Amino acid sequence: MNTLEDAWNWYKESKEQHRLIQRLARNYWDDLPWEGKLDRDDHFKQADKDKILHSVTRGMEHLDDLAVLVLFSAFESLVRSRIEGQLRIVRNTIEHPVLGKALEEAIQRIEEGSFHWVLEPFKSKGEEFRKHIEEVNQVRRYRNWVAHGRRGKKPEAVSPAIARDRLNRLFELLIKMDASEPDPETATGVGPASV
Amino acid sequence: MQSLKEYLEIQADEALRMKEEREQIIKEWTTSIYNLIGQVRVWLNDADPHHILEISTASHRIREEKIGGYDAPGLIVRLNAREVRLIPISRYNVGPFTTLGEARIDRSFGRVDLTEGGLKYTLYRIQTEPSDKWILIDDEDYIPRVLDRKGFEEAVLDLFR
Repeated sequence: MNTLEDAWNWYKESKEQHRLIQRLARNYWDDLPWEGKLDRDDHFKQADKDKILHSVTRGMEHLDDLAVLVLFSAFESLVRSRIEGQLRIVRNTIEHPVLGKALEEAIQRIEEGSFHWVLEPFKSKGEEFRKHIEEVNQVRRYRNWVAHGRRGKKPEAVSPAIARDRLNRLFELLIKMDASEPDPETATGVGPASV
Repeated sequence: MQSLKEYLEIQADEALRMKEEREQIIKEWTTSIYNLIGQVRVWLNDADPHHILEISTASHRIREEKIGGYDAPGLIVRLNAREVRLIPISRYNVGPFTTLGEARIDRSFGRVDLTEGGLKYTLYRIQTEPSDKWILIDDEDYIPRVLDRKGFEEAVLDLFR
């Protein structure tokens, strides 16, 4: 999943499919035309309504947390590749070896370092950035708790809808910031690069 | 110079103060859930003159980073084989950033879920003074509405159907 929209659609569709199966098992299972094709299908022949209901319900219990994880991963990947692309454009314009090396190290940190480190410098862009980055940090803390097996005390709970909202708002702010700043390609005369 | 004993006494006082503060928050939060359950029971009883709903309470163990572990009440409403649960999620949570009429909401003082295992309504406590105010958000359209009898009944009906 490459975008927040992809991740959100995956979550919505998964939830909808779970619900349909749950509804089918709960409300219509006994009314299905079992005699004929269905009772010759090995998968359905062995299926037990209560077991299906139990499994689907269990699956849905964890779907929201999984969605926060997936949404955050998509966001993280988008932000990292955007900033990395921008730094690579700048890197191509620099001939000084010390500066070049420093930028290469910065690019590596953007690619592999802590995501917290990636976002922190943007707080210097003002109050709006600080606020949105802190909001996203709350989502990140919850994502980490989920990713580490929900062990230990629970941080502030985050629902998928709130996660998407917060991640979207910060990403839009980053795009807005880029649009208001001079284009490094135009400024340097360097050819186009994929960001 | 401060002795080790004096230093540890200050630390002990601080720990006690923080413990009392945490206990106060937990008490305030669990009381709020009890009040919510009380209100919901009234609405359910009013809608059920033939007493076909089977209503019972449940206890949920919650462990939160800021206030530690505690037990919070929940509610189970059964109608034949169907079951709707009111489940306390956490006192501290990231609130919705949304509008409710003129009001802009981005804070929450607690979250409780109303669910049948699949479909879910999320209840956020958005106000504590002068009294609790809860909003209800469905997880289909994410449209918030103030929790009142009508909204609650519609949600329960949706979950039972």
